[in-house]
Amino acid sequence: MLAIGAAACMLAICGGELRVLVPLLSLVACVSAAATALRTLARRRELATLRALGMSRLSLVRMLELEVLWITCAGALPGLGTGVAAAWRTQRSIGLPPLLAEQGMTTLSGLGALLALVIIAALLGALVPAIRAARHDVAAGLTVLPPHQEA
Amino acid sequence: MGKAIAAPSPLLQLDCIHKHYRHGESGVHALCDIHLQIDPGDMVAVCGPSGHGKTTLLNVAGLLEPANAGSLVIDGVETAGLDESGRTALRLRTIGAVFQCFKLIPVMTARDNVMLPLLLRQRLTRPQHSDAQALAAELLARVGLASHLHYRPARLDHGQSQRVAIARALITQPRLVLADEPTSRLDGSALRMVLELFTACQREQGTAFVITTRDQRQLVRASRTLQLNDGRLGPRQADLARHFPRHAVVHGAVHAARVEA
Repeated sequence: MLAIGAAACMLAICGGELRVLVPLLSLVACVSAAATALRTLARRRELATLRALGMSRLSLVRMLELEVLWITCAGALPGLGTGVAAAWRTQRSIGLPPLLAEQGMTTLSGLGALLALVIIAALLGALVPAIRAARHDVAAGLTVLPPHQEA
Repeated sequence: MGKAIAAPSPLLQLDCIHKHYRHGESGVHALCDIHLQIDPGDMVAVCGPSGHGKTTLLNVAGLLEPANAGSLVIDGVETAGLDESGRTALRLRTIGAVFQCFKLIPVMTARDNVMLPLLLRQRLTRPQHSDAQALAAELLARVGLASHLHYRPARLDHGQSQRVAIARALITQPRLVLADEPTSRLDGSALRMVLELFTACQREQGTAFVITTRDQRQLVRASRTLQLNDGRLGPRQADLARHFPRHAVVHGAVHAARVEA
């Protein structure tokens, strides 16, 4: 969440420039993929239980993607806000022309587009680990010991 | 002349089921040539030493693991032709499961854990959600946990967690319950309440139970007791001894001869 927030903050500071946009969105996707992979690994037993109780693979992927959506929003919204505020303040203090306003970053639609891009990158990044988690062997997942019983 | 009454179709039928696991070069034969038929209202207890295939049997019957060979029919549906989503839907519709170590969701309260199968079955409207909450609370009360509705699993002891898992298995009124040692952590009044609940489900809803157990108090309530040894299912030795005393004598003599040799 912090990493996604920081990336969104950087995006806002750079005003959504293309040469910054692509690497930062790639970073968001990678962070999201790694975080989802780790989360599903830690929750193998819980996810296997949900599957054993009758949750379909599709529903499980949807649930994990929904979690990513919330986490991304929780990270990206404050990140974007902080980024816009920081960029605006810096530009004013050193007397630069209002770059953010020129690039449409002070309008709601501009920020909304940036947020949407961050969310899409995070969701796409999380898709592969979510699908892999949904395809795990249920019976094997059920044999994973709860944390307090692990050696 | 009276009409012949049609026998109820079996709820679960396993024919020639084999299951083996690979371990490097060698393999383990967990289930060998299993034949089992469960009719509505049956209560079948499966006992046997640990590591001899009891959990695997329930996993295969509960569609959590595929068998390597044989036929598995659940509620008239041949499961071999089903894809993953078909197996999941059949499991959700027909089977309630009590797992070893209970497998409660740690972030949910006891009541929410019990409601979970209902939530997975369909998207509930607000009144349906209230009804589901009431049903979960009623089931928890029937297993003696009326005052623990809002407790998370971390605050429940093993016996209480086991009772939550039992309530969760029964909330959808499944036609078949597969329970892996469901009373291993229960004693006294808790055990009595759970056994009474099982009997009530069996009598009122025709629920069939397949239970792995080592608990004598549960064995006496079972309509059939079976023994699983080295992946082979057969009548329980104690029952054989009761019904066929000579078999027990011969078995004992052979065993003694082996020991002497």
